[in-house]
Amino acid sequence: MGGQTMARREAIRLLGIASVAATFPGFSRWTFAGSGTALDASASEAVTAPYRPLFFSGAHFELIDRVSEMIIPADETPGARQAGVAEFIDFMVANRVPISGAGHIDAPGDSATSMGSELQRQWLEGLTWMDAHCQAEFGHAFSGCSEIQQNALLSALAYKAQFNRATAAGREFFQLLRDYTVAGYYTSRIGMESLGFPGLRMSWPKPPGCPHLDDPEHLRLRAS
Amino acid sequence: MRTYDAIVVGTGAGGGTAIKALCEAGLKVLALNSGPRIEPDRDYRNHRQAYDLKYRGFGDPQILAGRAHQERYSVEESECNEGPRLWEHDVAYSNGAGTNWYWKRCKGTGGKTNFWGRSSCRYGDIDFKAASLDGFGTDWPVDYATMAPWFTKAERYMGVASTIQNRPSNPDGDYLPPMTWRCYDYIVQAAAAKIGIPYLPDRCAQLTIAHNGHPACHYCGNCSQGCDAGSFYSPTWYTLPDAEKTKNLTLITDALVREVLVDESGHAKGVAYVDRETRREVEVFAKVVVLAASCVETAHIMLNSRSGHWPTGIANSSGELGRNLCDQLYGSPGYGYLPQLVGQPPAPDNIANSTVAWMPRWQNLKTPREEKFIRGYGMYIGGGCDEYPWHYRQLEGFGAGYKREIKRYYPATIGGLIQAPSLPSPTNYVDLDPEKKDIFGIPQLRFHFQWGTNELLMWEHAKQVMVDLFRTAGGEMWGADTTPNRPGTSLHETGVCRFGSDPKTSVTNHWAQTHDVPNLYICDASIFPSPTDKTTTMPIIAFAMRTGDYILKNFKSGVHRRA
Repeated sequence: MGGQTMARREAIRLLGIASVAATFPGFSRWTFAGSGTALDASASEAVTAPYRPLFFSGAHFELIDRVSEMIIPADETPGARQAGVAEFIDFMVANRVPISGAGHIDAPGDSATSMGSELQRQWLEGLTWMDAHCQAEFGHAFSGCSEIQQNALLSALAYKAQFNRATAAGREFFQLLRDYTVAGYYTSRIGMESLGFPGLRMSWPKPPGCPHLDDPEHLRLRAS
Repeated sequence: MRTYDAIVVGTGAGGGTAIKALCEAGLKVLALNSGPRIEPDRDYRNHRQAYDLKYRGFGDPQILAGRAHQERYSVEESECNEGPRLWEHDVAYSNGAGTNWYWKRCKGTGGKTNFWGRSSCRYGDIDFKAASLDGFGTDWPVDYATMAPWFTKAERYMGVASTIQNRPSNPDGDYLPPMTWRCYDYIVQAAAAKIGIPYLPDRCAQLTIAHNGHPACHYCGNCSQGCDAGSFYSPTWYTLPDAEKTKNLTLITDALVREVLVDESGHAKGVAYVDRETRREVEVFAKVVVLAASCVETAHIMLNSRSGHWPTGIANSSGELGRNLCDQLYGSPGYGYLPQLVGQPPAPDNIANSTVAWMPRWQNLKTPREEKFIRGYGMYIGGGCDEYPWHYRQLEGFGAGYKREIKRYYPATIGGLIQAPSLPSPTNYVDLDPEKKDIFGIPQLRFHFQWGTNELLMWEHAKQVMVDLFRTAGGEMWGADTTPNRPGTSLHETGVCRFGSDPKTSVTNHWAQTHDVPNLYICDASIFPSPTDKTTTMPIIAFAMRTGDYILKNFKSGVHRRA
């Protein structure tokens, strides 16, 4: 109200407001890496400096970094590693931020606080299970396994057709890993650009709408 | 001690409208708002992306720690504005046995109307006279001919985008050009037509062209986290600045109203509120009191206003205060994808962030009892390229193929949202918790509510409609919500101070003036005796405009004296 004159509102409409960046560990890397915006010298340094995990051990952090890149690899667009997903996961788990419960509350007891308290235990147990399973199956912790062995494990966790009794205990953790990897990737600028999220643009004269008006059921699209 | 002409409790859709009407007529108005003033620069999203937010939009899990009520308010309370400053997390409420009511409260000026969904349909005689048509409940004390000019006035002030549709369930209004349709709207419309269901532009209070000095929408998609430009109706950009221009408004923020004060004749003489900062109780006085505290909170204040005159709450000689609590059942009766759109380039489907199209009520129109249920429901269809690819959970696997599939399905996902009115029931009501008090010492409001058979039959009906719709559209269904959302989710609760012609069975008359206390008025959805298939905000504004006009007439004719 105070100070919100028409001129100001017009200015906002035409220019958009510059994003306000919060500051916290790992932020510079996952926000700006590969965004195409010019980085100043200090930001570049932050990108190259080794990341010190807030919550996970170095070994667990490496594991998360490797698995997240396996879930969303670099192809024609950058992957999870370049989007800083492992740092994101470390930050979120250190701060007990639930992903699945946010925005969907079923009962008065479902506060973010109560959902977050189990989170760290789930992660540590899951990572420990992965290493123990690899040790038993392949004779090495996950990081020491070959790419083929790592792939075999994830496949047995991810694809119904490859489910087996030995990996049943890890399936729920794999879903957690995938939830956080997807969240970290697709809430980064890299992930949004990879997906083609149209809302990265902040001002449109009008929604362009459907470009196939002569084909109301869009049947030909399916054939193409 | 200063006496105002009028005190208005609440600054949302109804309160803001009453404040504007009274101030512009020259009355001296005191507005009380439960929380702080909302400032768009600080409290809205302002074009931030998920990566600009510390927790990427998932929210600070500690922000409600130690508060009396720790549920985050889904959809409306986002990381852009979360926390106890704007949202009510200090005043707890109770749920009776078997009740799971979700009471989402925004205490900033303008309230939830800063973040509302903007669907703005007129009610018609099919709603006002529903009881006469199907024999259930009571009619509204007004008809469409009476209300049509007020709907027009509300629409012209707000700016509502839609088309003329000539449907029996949805009277047409005064509209701006409609929203542009997306690919899936045309696909769903064609399929819906084949199974006899209308699929039409919704009535959306969003400015497709500049209107009354407010700029046209710039389609950033931030709408439900607040509009930085004021391109849709909200008290923050509309009624409150209009009222402040008159210099007749005194606004007190962080004022939690506890009760309406009465004089020796039982008439309203002011209100008592708790100043949240000092926790001290303050009394303020006026010739007229208007309650617009958001439906159930209005009833809460009235139930707490007990005196020798009003032992069960002010203006409650009928015993109807707090009763007839209704809501709209929400939930997704089906979601999936359209193979026609898989692999298509991403399209800006959600930059309007609005209910572009909907399926207006099509049931029980020829005769009121065609279906197993009475009345009817509407459905909205959403989907397409949204901010976050939630469909990742429907896809199996990992790796480059998985990443590719997320992108291929991105433009193709759609889902339904049902909006089904409940019916008044003697077992659905609010009362005061006999034991629990909030941190300010005020007896807590307690909810008693269960979904009834009628709305659950609508839910089952809608699930079958979605199966038929997906089949006809050539789509694939992934699933449906296993149960409806919790009561309260829709924010469309009604009925706890219902209006009517008979003082024995209603709290207010058709002007929303309480039968018992002639200088006490209500300007929110608590007066609506039964919900409809449509949303509540625009009708709240239309009824509040009419009530405001009536209050002014009563000042002119001497029923109320100026202070």
